[in-house]
Amino acid sequence: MGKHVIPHASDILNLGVVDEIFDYSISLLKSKGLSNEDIIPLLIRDIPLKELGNNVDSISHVDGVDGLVIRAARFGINTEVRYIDNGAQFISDLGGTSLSKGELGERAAYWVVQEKGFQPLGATDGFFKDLANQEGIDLIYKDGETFVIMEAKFTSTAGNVGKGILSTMEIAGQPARQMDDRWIDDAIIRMDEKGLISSDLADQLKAAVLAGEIRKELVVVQNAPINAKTVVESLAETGLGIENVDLIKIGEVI
Amino acid sequence: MIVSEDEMKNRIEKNLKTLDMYKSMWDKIIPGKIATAYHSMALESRGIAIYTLLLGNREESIEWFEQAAHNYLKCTESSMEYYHSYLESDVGVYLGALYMSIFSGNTDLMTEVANEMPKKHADIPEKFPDVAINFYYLKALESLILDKLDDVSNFTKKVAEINKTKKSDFFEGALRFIEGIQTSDANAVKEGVNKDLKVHKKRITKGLLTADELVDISGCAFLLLARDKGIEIKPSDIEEKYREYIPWNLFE
Repeated sequence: MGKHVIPHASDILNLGVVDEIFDYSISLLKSKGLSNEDIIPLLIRDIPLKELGNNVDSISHVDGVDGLVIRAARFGINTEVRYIDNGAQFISDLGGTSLSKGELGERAAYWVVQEKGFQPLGATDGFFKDLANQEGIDLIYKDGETFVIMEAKFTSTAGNVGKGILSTMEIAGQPARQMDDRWIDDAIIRMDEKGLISSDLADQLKAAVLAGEIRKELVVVQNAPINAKTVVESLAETGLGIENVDLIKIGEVI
Repeated sequence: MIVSEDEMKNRIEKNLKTLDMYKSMWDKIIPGKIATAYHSMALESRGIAIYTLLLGNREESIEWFEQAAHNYLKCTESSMEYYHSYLESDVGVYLGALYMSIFSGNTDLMTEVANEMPKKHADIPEKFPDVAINFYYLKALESLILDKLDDVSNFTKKVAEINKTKKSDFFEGALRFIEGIQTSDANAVKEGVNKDLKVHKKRITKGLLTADELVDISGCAFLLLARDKGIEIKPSDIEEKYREYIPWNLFE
């Protein structure tokens, strides 16, 4: 759990009844697995505590060292919420506002994957200009024996993230929801024929999909006033089956 | 970018290899992914069909188009056994089956596919509003094939209503095409197909063309349906810049 305790900041949690809503929020968060020490970074960054408590089922980790990172579970989805201290700088580091929002999302996904110590496969590194904003998988990497299919999004909507963030793509009137098994299927063939991934990788991915050896992840950059919204259940629907979501909350900077 | 004959032959080899891979790993496919497996097989079969057609082997391609239609149908049958949520994407799969059956020219298969959309799918527009327009478009095409002209009108009205907000050029073209068939107006059919081809060309992305970029699947299906209904559209009726997306040997 949290590595750093801010001197004296913990006193606020020991003052006795400060405010009924505040006390309710604290006990709610404690019921989700947090200790006083974990709550302090949330207080320092003015995270809406009650909202957070209402939008997670459990919290396994809070880290307030470089920005604030909360690892939580919601509807069986592993949700990592990152609060970026300087959203404008974050966007600038990704390449700046001259990039499209789609490109910024893809670069953020690349950053997340690198942060976790993985390397994208094929031309899915967020810097392949021909790929951004096209019909294809944004990022593919391998975690042990498991292939990970990642979709990147940039949104200016503040709400909980649901499957609505994944577009229904259409070819010849045939709709397919992004990240649905059948959309992935089509995307793998498309990327193979476009030369964006090797045929060997395409075959491995196709086999992995059918053998259940893939994991689906979503990275969402939220360009909206800071809040503690997370995800809704529709992301976990079978057929879609998003397992991990990274929410990057940058504040309203664009 | 143009795809060479050698590249098309390579792709056919890859498609065949992948189909073999699916067969060899059938026992390892986990429950719930059988529908996906059939969907994959439909796409691989469709790829073989398109490349074979473009290489000039029409008769062989017809067999693969039929195979693709059957695989799409098996996909929807399997998905119903498992997951409610697959229903949303089933609309696209049924459309795939319908297009492929039209390409095959097998009227029995076309009728079978057009009759296949089960009644239990009727609530798709309410449950999945994002694909309501696609659902009504599918139903309109099915009704057109089955000569249920009242149903065609009802479904196209619904497509037109939703498209007032969606403003999709694809559906605008499709509606014009269907209107042309209903009224035996060759000009309307021509306009609808050209509009469809315009949408097709616009969505083509950089790099080597994929199977469904080389051929405008919906545009070809419209032309084949028009011919079945007694309206013949000639290459000269199609704007020159779009003609390359129609494999004209399909109409021999």
